[in-house]
Amino acid sequence: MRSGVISPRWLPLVGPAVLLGVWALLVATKAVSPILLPGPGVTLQHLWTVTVGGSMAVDFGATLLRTGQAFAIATVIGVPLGVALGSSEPLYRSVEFLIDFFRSTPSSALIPLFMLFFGITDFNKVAIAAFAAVLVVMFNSAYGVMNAKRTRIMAAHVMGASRWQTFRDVLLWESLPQTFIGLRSGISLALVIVVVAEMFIGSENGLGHRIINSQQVLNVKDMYASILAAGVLGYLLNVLFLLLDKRVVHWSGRA
Amino acid sequence: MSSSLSDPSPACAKLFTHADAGTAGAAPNGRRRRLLLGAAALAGTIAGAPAIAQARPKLTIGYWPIAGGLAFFAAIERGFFKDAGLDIEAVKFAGPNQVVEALIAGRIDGSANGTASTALALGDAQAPGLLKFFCTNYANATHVLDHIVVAKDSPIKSIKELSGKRFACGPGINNITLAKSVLEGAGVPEPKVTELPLGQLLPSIAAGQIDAAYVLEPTAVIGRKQNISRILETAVISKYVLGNANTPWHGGAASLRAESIQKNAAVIPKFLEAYARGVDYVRKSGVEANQYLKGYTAIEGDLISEVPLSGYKMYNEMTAEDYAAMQKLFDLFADRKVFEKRLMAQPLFYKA
Repeated sequence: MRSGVISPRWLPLVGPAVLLGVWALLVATKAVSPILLPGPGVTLQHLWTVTVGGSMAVDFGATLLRTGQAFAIATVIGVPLGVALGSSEPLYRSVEFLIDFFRSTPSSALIPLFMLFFGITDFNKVAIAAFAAVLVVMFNSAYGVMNAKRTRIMAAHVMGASRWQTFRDVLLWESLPQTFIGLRSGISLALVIVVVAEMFIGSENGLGHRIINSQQVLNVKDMYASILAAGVLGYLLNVLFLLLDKRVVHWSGRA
Repeated sequence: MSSSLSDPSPACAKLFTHADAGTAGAAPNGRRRRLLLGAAALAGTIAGAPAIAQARPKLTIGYWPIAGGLAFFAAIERGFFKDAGLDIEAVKFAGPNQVVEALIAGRIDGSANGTASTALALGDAQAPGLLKFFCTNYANATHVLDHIVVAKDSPIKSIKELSGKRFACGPGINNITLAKSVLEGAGVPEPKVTELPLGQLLPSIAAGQIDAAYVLEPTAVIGRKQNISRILETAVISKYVLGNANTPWHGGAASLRAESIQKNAAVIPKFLEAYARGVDYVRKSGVEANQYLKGYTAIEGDLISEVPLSGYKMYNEMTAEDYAAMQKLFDLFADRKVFEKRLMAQPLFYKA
């Protein structure tokens, strides 16, 4: 991008700048009532105040913890199961309907079912988010194995590798790039479902709880600050996965 | 208050989750009316005749599809607004907060009963002079709405016994504030209240996950009909928050935007008169009036005949005691820091 007018290191800031610009314009032109949509400056200032004050940290931390728990459960179950299913196409085809069926079902609609199984404890929010994420993780891991390069598998066979050796030394590694895509999608989905659950199941803390309470008392500054905080959390989790992706599957797309 | 407290019928919101959640939609007759008008205009154009339409003054009123809006629904369906020469478009919203946001944005001229009075007051606090209440809907020992319910076979005999028990209410700060205030008022020390989705309160009682819940109608009626729960005590807001079971809890209100009042000064008295006819009809007809809940709310079937009626007070019927009761409710929300500052109830009311 040497020829560009913007140095590459600043490119990631273009999107946020455009967002804040459009937002400020909407408020400045009074296209939207400032009572219902405060300007970006006021909102960011409020976000800073509640962050420094500590009240946002409690809700941010609670949502992060639930998301982390849901994601850990999804990973521990989803990756091995996905790899196992992917290594046997007939097995995958026999459960494909269930995976695609539940993957297409809004998890939030299953809240009553989860409350039936997991009671009214805080864990039901984690469980429903884990359920949503595990399907995405499993699906991607399975496809990662199924789409492994045939030439590599054949090369392993030619060299006399057993089925187990082929699976361990070829298929597993071949599936990792796709598995990471699943993990990245899974953690974003887990965050979304956790926030939705905090909003609609009811909670004592968390960003979703903060958003719904602010909405109920028309505290729009706090509501949009909380939405920004949720967005920042999602972005940071994605950045974390990009870094991990580069380190762990450094060969991805280059072989 | 999707589940709000402050609203006299939030508990039934669970029944409406399928109804236009998050978006507004025209009421059942609105679309038909527009189609008829459109067809008439088209016919006039085809005939080549200059269509000189004597347009009737039009007001757009937002509503939340709960039983508290009955007086408004009845006034539309019985043609009281039409008789007054008014064209009223009823627009449905998913919750009282969306109604208030539409009032602030100027997308509607007013709100029907059933919209939480605390949400409307907050809207006026954010945009001072935004609106005027012209009719409240209330609950008390006569017009029952709010209850504490327990499992049908529960050994619990009084609210005081709820100390240390698992207690739940609908989600959100409004429900929590009212539910805790009820328990504290009844003498339960440091009550712990769990938030649950409205639709999960009865299933949680049935599954033994909670011992009791603060609910609004029609949840208690449904719980009794399905043999899940029984009412432990009723009119709990009036009794334990406002101090007397007969004191009205003015949880909902119908309002008009101040700008719309000014802009339509000539027709507002007619509108209020027609609305008052709806209130009068509900008072005189009793549960028979509930037939007009159909199409506007999700309440139908044999539930229609069992949903209790709200009490209504038009602006010119409000007494000093009524204002004091509403002020007490507002002060509770200010004391609990739900409101950022003290809001005054009486100045919010329309004056002829």
